[in-house]
Amino acid sequence: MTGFVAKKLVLSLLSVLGGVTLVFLLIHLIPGDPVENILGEQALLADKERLRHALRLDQPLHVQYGRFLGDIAGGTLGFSFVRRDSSVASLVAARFPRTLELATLAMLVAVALAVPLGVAAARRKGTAVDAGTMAFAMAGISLPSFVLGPLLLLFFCRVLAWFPPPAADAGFRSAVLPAVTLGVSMAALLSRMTRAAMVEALSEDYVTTARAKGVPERLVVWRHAWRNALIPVVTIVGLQFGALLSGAIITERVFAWPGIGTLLIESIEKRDFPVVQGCMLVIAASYVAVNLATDVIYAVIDPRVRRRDEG
Amino acid sequence: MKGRRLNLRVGAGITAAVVFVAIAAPMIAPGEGRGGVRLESQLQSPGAGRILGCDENGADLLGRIVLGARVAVLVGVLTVMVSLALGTAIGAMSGYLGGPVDELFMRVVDVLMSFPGVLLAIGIIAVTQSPSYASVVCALSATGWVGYARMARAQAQVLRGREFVLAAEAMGASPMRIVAAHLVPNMLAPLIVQATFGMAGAILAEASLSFLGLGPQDSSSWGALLDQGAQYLAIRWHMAVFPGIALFVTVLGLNLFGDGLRDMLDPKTLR
Repeated sequence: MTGFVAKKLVLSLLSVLGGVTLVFLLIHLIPGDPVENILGEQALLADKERLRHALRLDQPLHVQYGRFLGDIAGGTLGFSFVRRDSSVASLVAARFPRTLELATLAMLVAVALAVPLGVAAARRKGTAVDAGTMAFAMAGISLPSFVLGPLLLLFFCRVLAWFPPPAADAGFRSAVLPAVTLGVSMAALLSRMTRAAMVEALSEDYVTTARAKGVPERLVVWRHAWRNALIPVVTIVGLQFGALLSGAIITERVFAWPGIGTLLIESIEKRDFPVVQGCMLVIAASYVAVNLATDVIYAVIDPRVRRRDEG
Repeated sequence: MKGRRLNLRVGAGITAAVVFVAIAAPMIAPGEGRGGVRLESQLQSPGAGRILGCDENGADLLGRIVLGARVAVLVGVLTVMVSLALGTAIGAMSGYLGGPVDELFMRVVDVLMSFPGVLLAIGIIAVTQSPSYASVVCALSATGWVGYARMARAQAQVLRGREFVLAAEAMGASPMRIVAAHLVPNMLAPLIVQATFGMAGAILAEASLSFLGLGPQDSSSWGALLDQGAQYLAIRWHMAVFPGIALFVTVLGLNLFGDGLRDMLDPKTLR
């Protein structure tokens, strides 16, 4: 088990390091001068040179890369081009918890929607309930958050006025619509997976045995079948939670939610590359971390995975 | 069984209709086209003559949505073509050769997979001066090829032990020739299904980038129209609704088409 976790951990760290390097190279090798972007093309040459020096952009690439890694190791992630006295880490730390909050709520919405739907569809396979659930899943997968979000705002916020408009800080009520928007597409995927896992579990011999013994149907479904269907479902929830962190970028924009996605887009507009770099790094690292955690949990639940990967 | 075939038909119908609209867009788009601001029709609500209303510049919204189909189909088709070609070549080669080449491939995939969703595309677009169609296609293909490559790799690993491959090897065919002439033709069916879903994904991704203001500049992309619509949401509903319907129907059509195609090509999934 330790060997399994260690191997996964090393591979995850390597891929994050590779990702970090890729982001660094992207920003430094693609043509375009950040100094000109900040000061404008008309700026004086001397001013440009001064800023270039202050931002360390006049140093050779490998020196900049070394400093970049140093900034990561030092925990500051560098300093913003625009707000020069703020470290990227402090900017990200101010926003990241909000994204985490949104993603967690969205996941709760998704599980609350998908598990009952998927189980109901599997129990009544081939009926209207099943067809309806699968139609919901198909529609949900095809409905991006920047289409659904405005529709929900229009209906629940403008017409019915149940929820506050975007950017109004009304505590939990502000979070409902963004969480639903982000959660629906995951619910769509998850209900399909839940249905498939339950269909399989319900066709197992132990379910037939339990029914033959006269176990009440409710217990057959939830105690016998569902517990076994849970393993693939938990895995998908884990993997999708990581994806929610990036999906949040768009949902945050729709609802003016002050998370890391909004920070990323603001920084792109301002050409504040260290912050762009930092946001991408943090999102990618948390995505990899969540996936790693899912892998480990999966291996704990199901020893077969562990053995296959060690071999 | 019947329902499955229905998926395929409805999906194919929607997809064909969208492609037709995209090709014929300049001929059939109503309105005076873009360019300039028409104050008299700015933000006009749907009504006679302008069935879907007008946008912030007073251009006919239906006309812009029709032109938007062009952006979606163009970016979708190009992205899938680039990703499919690149992914199949790299994946099949890596799966066939194995060893250090394959090891390197897996590490590259790990790195690219550490960026969820459109994050890497956002990063690539972020550093380009003003995004063009080409940069959007490049950004989406930069991650898009990975899915095809993984699939092609898995297929190649299965196929490389088969007799016809061994026979070709015995006759002295080069790895390049084996991959191109013997492996790839035998893995096309699942790759084509994947490409259908990939096209839906590429269209969604392009619209996402445009919604974030990172799409091709000055385009009628549905994402850009939705971004505009979201800004006027408090006073006008039509601009946030109609481009969304267009995008939803297009993506739904492709997903249904892909689902139906998969079931047709692989009868096992029918039950």
